Amino acid sequence: MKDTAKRIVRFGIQNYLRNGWLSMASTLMMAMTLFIVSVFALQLYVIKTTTRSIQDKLDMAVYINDIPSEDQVSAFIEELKRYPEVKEVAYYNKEQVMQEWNNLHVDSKIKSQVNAENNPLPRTIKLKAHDPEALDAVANRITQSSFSDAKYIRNLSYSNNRPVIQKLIAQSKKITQNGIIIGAIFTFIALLFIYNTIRIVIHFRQEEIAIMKLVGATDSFVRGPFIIEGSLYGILAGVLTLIALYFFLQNGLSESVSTLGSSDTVIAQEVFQVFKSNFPMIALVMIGGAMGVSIICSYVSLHHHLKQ
Amino acid sequence: MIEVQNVNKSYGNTHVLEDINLMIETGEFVSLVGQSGVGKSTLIKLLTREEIPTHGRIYVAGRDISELSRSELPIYRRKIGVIFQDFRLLTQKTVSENIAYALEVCGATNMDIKRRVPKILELVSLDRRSDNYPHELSGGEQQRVAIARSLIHSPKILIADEPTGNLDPVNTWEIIDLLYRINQLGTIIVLATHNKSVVDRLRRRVIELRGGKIFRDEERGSYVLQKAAA
Repeated sequence: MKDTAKRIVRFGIQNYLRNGWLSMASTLMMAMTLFIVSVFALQLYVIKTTTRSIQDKLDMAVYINDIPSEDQVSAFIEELKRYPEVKEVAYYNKEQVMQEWNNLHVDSKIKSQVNAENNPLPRTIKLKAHDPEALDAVANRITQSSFSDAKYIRNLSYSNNRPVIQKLIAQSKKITQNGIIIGAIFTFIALLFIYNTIRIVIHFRQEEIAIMKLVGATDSFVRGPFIIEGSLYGILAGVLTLIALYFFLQNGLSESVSTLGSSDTVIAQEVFQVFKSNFPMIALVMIGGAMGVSIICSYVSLHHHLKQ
Repeated sequence: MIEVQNVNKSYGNTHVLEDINLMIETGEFVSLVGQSGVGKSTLIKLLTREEIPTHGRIYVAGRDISELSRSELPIYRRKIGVIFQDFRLLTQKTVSENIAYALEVCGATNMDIKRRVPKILELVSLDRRSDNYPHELSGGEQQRVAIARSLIHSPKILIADEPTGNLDPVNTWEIIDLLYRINQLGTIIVLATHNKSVVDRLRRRVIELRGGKIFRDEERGSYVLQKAAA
């Protein structure tokens, strides 16, 4: 039994090496397919990060007039924090708002209109929701609150920004959805491509399979080396793809990926960082996945020949 | 040893073999002759269980080979030797690896393989070619490798489908001589051939197929029916 297993492994490696160009061509073919799929996956990642960062920026400001006391405002903040949709609440009192005003690049004449004695700027509460879509609900709650009824709220930024926010949410949703659909189609095509490559390799060797059977090899003794060979295709193609991806992301080319999702080149560097820091996981998934796919493809392609 | 009973084989509406009845005993050397397309190769394929009869039964050593299960088939194949016109060697393996393969499939130990392969190569006079690949050998040498491979399990039956079809006269006689010597050791040889001089010189049992049927079956026959003798 141990001898047989050793033989199967030896034959698998031997077949890979002795089939020279066919093995190499098939490995390269698989590596290219994997590479294209990986670049596409990275692009999806970029799109997702971009839309997420846009969504993260979506917030709402509640401008409070000068009537309520600080205690009343604090109570209102506590109430806001209890809303299930709310993720973050930040409060800026009059001094902080003025500081922010001073930091703005505005004409000094206008700037001088606001000072500690004469500060018309309203106190501001900034809120973020767990899901930007929930901002709508939060706005409703605020307008129905007793704080609002007491006419303490001067203005709600959301009422002005609503159309823009809604449009952004719809757009980013659409982009992610499209990305997933195209990704699924792409993965399917890649799988077909790998399956076909392995089928061709096995088709080339059908004579060999017939001889093995005629000499008295059992199905598993014929299949074994092909499975080993298939996993070699997967491992080598996975390694080649990882190397190619590394250089692709490291060099300027990465910008072209990011610009397809966003014009922000910082994202390109971020993707490279993510790739580097998650390398063991990515390598495992890539090599394991490629190996798994080629083993399954070998098994399925062989089935037909073994049945004869 | 081999008994063919009322065997018919057809592919769709084409009847290739009809009503074949045969009995081959241990130690016989049988030449299967007839024009191309009369069903010789089909009969060989039935014997090697590459095909199953449409009707009838084939018994080898008392066992109906049509009823062999998927797992029994490899074991049956190891008990019969088969050689072909196109040699059917594994092109990616060397001479000794090709022969060792036949032992490896049945789980022989490495020591056993090391002991038996050189011996069999010596028998077919190829001991100096053991590390060559098939494409580096002449046709006659390749056929000798195929014979060595088929003999490695000491089979009781050796089936040869046009083994000299691709060989020149010198190599042809070397192969036939080898088959003859194997037969002398008690192995049944079933030889499908087009080679008139081989059959005529052997003067052994001849079965001629015509139109998918057995036309004649002579104890000491020749390639063509000899009217004077008939």
